[in-house]
Amino acid sequence: MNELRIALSLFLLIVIALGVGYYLTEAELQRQRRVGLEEPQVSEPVRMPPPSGSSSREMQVRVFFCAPGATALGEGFLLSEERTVLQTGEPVFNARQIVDELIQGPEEEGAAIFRQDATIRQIFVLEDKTAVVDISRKTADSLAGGIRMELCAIHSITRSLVENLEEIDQVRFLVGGKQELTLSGHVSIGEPFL
Amino acid sequence: MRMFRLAALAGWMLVCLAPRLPAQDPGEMLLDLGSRRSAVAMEQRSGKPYVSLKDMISALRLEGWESKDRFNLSGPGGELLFLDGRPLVRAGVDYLLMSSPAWKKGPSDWYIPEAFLVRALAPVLPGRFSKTGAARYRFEPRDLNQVKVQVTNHANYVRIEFSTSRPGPIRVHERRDYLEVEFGPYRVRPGARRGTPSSRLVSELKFNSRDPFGTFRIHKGQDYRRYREVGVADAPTRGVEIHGPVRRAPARASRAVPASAATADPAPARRSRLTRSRSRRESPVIVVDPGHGGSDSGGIWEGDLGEQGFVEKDLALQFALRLQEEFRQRGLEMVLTRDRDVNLSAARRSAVGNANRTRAYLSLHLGRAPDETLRGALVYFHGNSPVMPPPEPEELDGEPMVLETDVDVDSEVSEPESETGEGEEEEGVEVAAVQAEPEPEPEEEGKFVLWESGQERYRERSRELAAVVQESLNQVYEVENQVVEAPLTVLQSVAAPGIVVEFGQLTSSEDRWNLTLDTFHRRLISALAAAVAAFLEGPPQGADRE
Ligand SMILES: [Zn+2]
Repeated sequence: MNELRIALSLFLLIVIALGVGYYLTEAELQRQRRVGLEEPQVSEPVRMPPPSGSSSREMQVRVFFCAPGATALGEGFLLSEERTVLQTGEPVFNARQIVDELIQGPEEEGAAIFRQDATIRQIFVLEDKTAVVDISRKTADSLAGGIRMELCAIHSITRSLVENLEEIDQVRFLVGGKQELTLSGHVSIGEPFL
Repeated sequence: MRMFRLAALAGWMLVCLAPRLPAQDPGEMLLDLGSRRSAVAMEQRSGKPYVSLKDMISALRLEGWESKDRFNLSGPGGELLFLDGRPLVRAGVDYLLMSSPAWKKGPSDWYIPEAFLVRALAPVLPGRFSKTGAARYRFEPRDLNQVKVQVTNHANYVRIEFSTSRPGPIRVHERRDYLEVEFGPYRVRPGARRGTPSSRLVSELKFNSRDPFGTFRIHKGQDYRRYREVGVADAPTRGVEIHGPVRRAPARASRAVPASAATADPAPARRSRLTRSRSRRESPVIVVDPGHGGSDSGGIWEGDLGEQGFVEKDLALQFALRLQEEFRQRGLEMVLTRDRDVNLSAARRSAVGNANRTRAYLSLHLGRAPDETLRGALVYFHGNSPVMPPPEPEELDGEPMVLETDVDVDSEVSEPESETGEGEEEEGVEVAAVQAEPEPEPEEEGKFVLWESGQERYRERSRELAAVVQESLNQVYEVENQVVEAPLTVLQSVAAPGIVVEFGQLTSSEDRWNLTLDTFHRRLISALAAAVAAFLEGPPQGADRE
């Protein structure tokens, strides 16, 4: 009789232990499932302020942005805004300032294409009037997911450079210092744009 | 010794009781449909019973499919969207909050809490869906679906067309002696029947009133080999073709015969009154490339609670698979560049098109625009549209003239809709080329074209295809988007009319909403397929200069 009582209590203990164990694993699983839903937040890097002006001459330029809602290429595809940059006499520096203005984004109704932390690694201007614009990998990736994004980036940079600088007739794009097929998967950058 | 006996006793008691622990037991739910009873899988999760959606869909003849982390179920009353791990269901435009989330047990195997079964399913079902006891439900179909049958006998097959008074899925199940045709969650009432099938292929065509919804049974005749489902021009009509043994076609070897020649039908399987493709060539007519894949996800829209997230590669694939089904129903053959989530280079994608000698190549994508107001589908074709605008129009006043300054720069660039003298001159050259070589030959033997410039000869045909597709998709989205010419790596090597179709913009909240709706997908797919079919029916064939 005594034995049966001990056996029963032992049995009850095991049942309780199993029950608690089951409850704990289930609670843990549920917690993990909930945790999995929360995505980590990435903070925005800080952008350096643009360098202050010097005593050189200034020049007016038209910086081009994509027109909101425009679907076809052609005249209505881009909008321009006036900007004042320094006339350095050096096409590379002039080009750099124009592209920086472009990255800063529009002040009127044009659409911003680049994030403000976008990086253009280098710009060269060759003797045959080709500008080579080397975009960082990360900036090119930020255009991912649409032909429209890539076209806007290519058209706004090309037009802003060719229209304002007579030393530039066409623009070739590199990504991360290398000749790539596309900026981010769609539009071919194998040939220069003009 | 004593302890050992005690432990053994306790263990034995546990073993006796273990199978009765309810948490381990995958149960069953019963669903009464008229006089028939179906079993639906049930599982316990956190002590609550969950019901298999897959089983419910098959028992109730609904439609359901999975995409990424959601499951769509559609019935005559609307659609439901179940999200994994999130306590949210969407029915039409309403959000319903469930106190427990849906549960994805495995691929396409979704479960919802039993407690929500009636609330979730009753609105989409045409009839009374009710709980009749513990784990026991009943559905009584209310709406009638009148099904008319038309039978036509052909040389080597019988075509049986069903015209239904209600839209919905038509499913064919092949059994040993017959094919069973189901018509969604309605009570079927057989309507007028015209024609009698050839007894060699179909021994009997009967309405089966013993099925709770009513089905048609096509009993196999002695020559029966296989069947295929086909779409018919009018939306609610579907057909089943019953085929006998395949006969070798005499025209098979004659590749050089002009495509339009009226040759004997090489493959009756591809016959359709919708298309004339059957006599043209044996290779697939359309190649569809679901964009991105594998480590390249394409565009991503991070959803949050209350809004669905999107991954371009997944949606493109899902869209392509449904498009394939749509083309199949229209009697058009379609091949995919990928049917799984894998990385593919642009060259490999074009190679699938070129190796299959496709007549239309569609690369499917979702768009992202710098501004949120741009919405709808955008269709692109390959070309080098210049960035810089054409020179000022004043210079063209009076007589049209050639602008000397631009000739050398643009000699390689075709100017599509250009009004300048230079553009007209190029058009003239094209016309002259066509007149000089009125070659009907579809392929120029012995002439090599650079792989990278495979698309060059098809630019005008691609532009036409783009225009037809854009127009058709504009109607679905109710927008007036225009086709765009751009240098596109996925198209540049395609030696056929080819386009990129962005079938929605992820940056537009309106598009995102639309893209969660099955009905909207269906409209897009049908509009896209109709446009491509219309393009393939059109008169000009081959490359631009032929
Ligand atoms: Zn894409």
